[in-house]
Formats: sequence, C-alpha cells, structure tokens
Amino acid sequence: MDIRKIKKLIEMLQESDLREIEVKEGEESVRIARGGSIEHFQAQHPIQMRAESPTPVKSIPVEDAPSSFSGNTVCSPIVGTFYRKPAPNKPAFVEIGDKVKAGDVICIVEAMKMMNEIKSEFSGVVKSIEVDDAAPVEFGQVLIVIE
Amino acid sequence: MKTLNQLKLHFKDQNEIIFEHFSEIDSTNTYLKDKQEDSRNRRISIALADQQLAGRGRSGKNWYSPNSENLYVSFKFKLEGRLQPLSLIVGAELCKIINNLSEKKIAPNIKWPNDIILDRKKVSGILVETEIDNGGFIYTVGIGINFMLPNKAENHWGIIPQVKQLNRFAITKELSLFIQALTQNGVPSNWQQDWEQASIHKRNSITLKTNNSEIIKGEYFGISNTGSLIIITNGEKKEFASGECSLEY
Repeated sequence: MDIRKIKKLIEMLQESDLREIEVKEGEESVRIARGGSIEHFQAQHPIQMRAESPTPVKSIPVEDAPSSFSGNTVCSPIVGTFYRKPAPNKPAFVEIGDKVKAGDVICIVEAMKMMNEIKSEFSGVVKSIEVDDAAPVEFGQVLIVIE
Repeated sequence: MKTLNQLKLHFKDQNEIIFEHFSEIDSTNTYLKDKQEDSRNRRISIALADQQLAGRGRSGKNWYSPNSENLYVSFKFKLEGRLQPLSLIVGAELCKIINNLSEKKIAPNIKWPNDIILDRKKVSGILVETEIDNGGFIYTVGIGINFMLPNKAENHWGIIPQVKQLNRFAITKELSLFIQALTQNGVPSNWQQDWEQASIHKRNSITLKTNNSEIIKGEYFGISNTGSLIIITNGEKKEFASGECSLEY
C-alpha cells in the first residue's frame, strides 16, 4: 500500500474522534488505531507501538493532504518531542512567513535524547507551525505547513 | 582548529574510515555534522580532539572540554532503515568497553536513555544528532568521558579512574570497531540485553520528568525495542520517548 495513503489515514484519524481505521485493498489491509485515551495523549504522552514504521522512515510529502492543510505538510517521522530551536537560547529555525529551501532544517524532533533534524522537502514560505515548542508529537503528525 | 593527524583507511570491502585528530577544535560533533561530503554510505568519519573550545551537550549546554586526558570524540556514519536508538546502543557498548578494558575493575551503569553512571555520578555524555537521508539516517555520535574534572565541578559529575589499558585512545579504538560492525551488520540483535545488563534501574522505583514538566512516578519495567522507557505507574504500563529520569537510591 502506498505510504501516502497510510499517512492520510493517520491524519484522518488524528482529526476525527475515531479510535481506529481499517482499510483493505485486495489482499493488503492496514489497521491504524489510537492507543490509550485522549487524556493520556495530553497528560502523559505514552508511545504507541504503531510508531514503528514498516518502511524506512522518511518525512513524507503529502501534496494532496486532507482539506485542513492547504500547502505542503512536513510531518514527524517518529514519536518524540518537537523543538523549534536548536537550543533554548537560540532563535527558532523558522518563523511563519520565512522563505525556506528544500533541504533546510526547519525543526528538531527529540527521542531517546537523540536530536533528529527535520528538513523541509519543499521550497516555499512557512505558512503555519502546527505544534508548540517542546510539545510531544506522534508519528506522522503534521509539524509545519509550507506553501 | 589544528590538525595533528589525519588517517584515511580504505578496506577491501570498500569501507572507508577517515580519522582526524585535532589539538583543538570548536566541537567534534559540529565539525563532522558540517562536513557534507561525509554523508555517504560505507564511510565512517571520526574526529578526536585534545580540547574543545565550544564542546556541546544537548540543548545548547556546554561540555567542559579542557586540554587533558578526557575523551572528546565523534563518529559520523549512515545506517539504512528506520531510526535506531543509538543513544542507548552506544551507551551500553561504552559500559561494556570500560568494563573490559579495566579488566572488570570498573563497572559503570547506564541510566535511561544514555547517562553513564559510576559511584552515583555522571562520568560520560553522549550526544546523538541525526538527519534523514535517502532510505536511512545519518548519525553523528559525540562521546565525552571525564578522566579528570575541575575542582569547581558540580557534585553530580564524576570521573572514570584511569587504570592500565583504559584511556581515551583505547576507548576510541574499541568504539571504532563497534561502529564499523554496526555499518556492516546493522544493530546487534542482543542490544537490549546488553543495555539491561548495564542498567542501573533493575526493578526499582523511578521518577520521570516529561518535557511538559509532568512528573511520572512508578516502577521501572524495561525498555522497548525502539529504546523507549517503560514504567508501571498506577498499575498500568506506559512508554516514554522523552523525559529526564531520576533514581531513588
């Protein structure tokens, strides 16, 4: 199954009250479920095992993202913590309205104390930053929208 | 930046190791990260420094790096596939290396995810920085080990005693062999056992401060195959990818 379809499903799940989506295509099927309650997500940030991506992890460009994001979305390749700055006393990698080139580092997602630089796969202007600094993020969650 | 030695090794199987030894440098991690041409397959770049002028820890913290016998070394290499918890994997290996080189006289422990602890004090820092690259990740792994500390060092810092065979060059050599094996064979299948073996947690109580400043108290249960911390709290198992944990001795 196309990884983009799976990503779209994850986004649909995140934007809805659904707990689970299962899709079958011929012999292939994929089931995506939220683990724990919504309360857990906010309060304690447990990790869902679905964070294990079945394919090499990549931040996946979704040009045809669902309606709520117009523009190109940069998503988290892992479960972790989102950081807008390289260090607390440094300026943010990008601000809304900044021009970015494909390949520019635009944020960091930390997990297991590893600082994972996330690069933009698009050139354009930063339209929105969807996550607060130091907030937990899930696999596939939209971080930044570029137009 | 002053280079003392530069060594380029080519192996029959097309692996390549580039080793650079600096008398001083801003930061070995920054140096390797900025070397763009190094991000290709089957190449390991190593930078070792006698002193760092701007040694870095995580989140912009400084790493005390005077000219001394302390170890300041970084490795840069690529591994195919998903992100591997190299902070834990390298930490566990480092405990094993120190134990072996000291002929079992020095047995440090590891606190999740990668703090090396000896006599209840932190003796080593590991800084892992990654970037996504074409079907895999490029890792820059910086390792600092204290063999000496200034008098004014804070109380929670400690040192590894320098005994015969246990010094910064011997450790660098063993780490290089380990990373070479990583790039050839991937992550060792028993890394979780190695980590648990060196773990300081056992089944003890643990407190985790999350990045939202939430305090989680519970019992240490283990680590997952992604390296996340599993805690039993209020009768429930929960996993965490981020946070700062402390121990109750």
